[in-house]
Amino acid sequence: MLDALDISASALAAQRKRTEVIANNIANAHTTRDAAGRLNPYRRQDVVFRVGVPGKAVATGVHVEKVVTDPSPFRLEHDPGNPDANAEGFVQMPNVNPVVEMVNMIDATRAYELNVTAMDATKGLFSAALRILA
Amino acid sequence: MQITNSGAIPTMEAALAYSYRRHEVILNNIANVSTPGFRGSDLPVADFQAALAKAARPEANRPPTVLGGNPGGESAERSGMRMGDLLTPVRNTDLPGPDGNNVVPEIEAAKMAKNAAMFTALSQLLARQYDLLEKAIRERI
Amino acid sequence: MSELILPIGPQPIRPEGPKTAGQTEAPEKSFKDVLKESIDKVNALQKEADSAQAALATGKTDNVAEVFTAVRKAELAFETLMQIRNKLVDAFDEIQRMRI
Repeated sequence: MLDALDISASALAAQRKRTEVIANNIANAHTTRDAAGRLNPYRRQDVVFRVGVPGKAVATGVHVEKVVTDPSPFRLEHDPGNPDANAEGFVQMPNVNPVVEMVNMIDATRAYELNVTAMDATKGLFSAALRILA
Repeated sequence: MQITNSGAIPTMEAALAYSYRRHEVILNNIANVSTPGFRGSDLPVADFQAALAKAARPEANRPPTVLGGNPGGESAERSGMRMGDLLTPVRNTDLPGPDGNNVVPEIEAAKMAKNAAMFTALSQLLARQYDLLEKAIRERI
Repeated sequence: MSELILPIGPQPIRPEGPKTAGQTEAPEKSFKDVLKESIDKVNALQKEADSAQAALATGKTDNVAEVFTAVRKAELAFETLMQIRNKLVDAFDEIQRMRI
């Protein structure tokens, strides 16, 4: 009976990880250089959800299988004065679209909240069942 | 123990257990609300209720006891229902969205709320019936 | 005069009066009859409560208010019967303890 809480917990963890990745995308929407200072625009990241929880044979719950990089091309911004501009005066900007990220963020938040409600419902069922004893 | 198989107790116990299994299925749907390619499931409620109604037929030729009810009635487990089939989740065939997921969060949330309300009501009623039995047993002779 | 005596023993022999639509004498309900009526009523209410609960469990109704009301009624009738029985037992004990 207590597995039900694990299912909800796994969903909360997965959605939280997704939120972190989205937040990272938003934070790096204009990052053109990597940690070493080299010209290396940030590449958008995404999470891959998969049914089940590692280590459990039953296909219930969800987990983040991996974090993948979005292979779509960089945005080109025409800014000849920018030190990161190429010979034609274009700067390669990260392939992050803030609007898309915001929509995903809202979706992740709603999914998180829905699973919190579900977890509360499960706890409510436990209390109700407890009354059979007392 | 005959006394705990009286009246509506076995029927309610079966419905309660089923309601819990269904909660777990709906919970899994909600957990996978954004998993690509995931198809939601549900338990065959209508089939279960029909089977339960059949199994709960009172035995007409038994005299009523003080508590009324149905001392010879079968409890759900002994009624021969194919419990396995009734407990197997059935895949939802709704059209999926662009990511292959066909779970509708609002519908799942509503199903969960309704199922939880039923569970709560049944467990309260069962608690009451057991209390009544206990009272009858304990009252001083 | 006959209304005042609870017929615990055999009935006194009375000449047969003219038959009318209702009883000419007041109906003599023995305590035994009252008790039996109570038990039957408790049975009936419990049966109703059981079928209401079964209807909820099998999805034939979703009117929880109706179901709860039926259950509570049956419970109260049962508890009333319990109290009657307890009073009877107490009265019997008291009579037993009486020194004659």
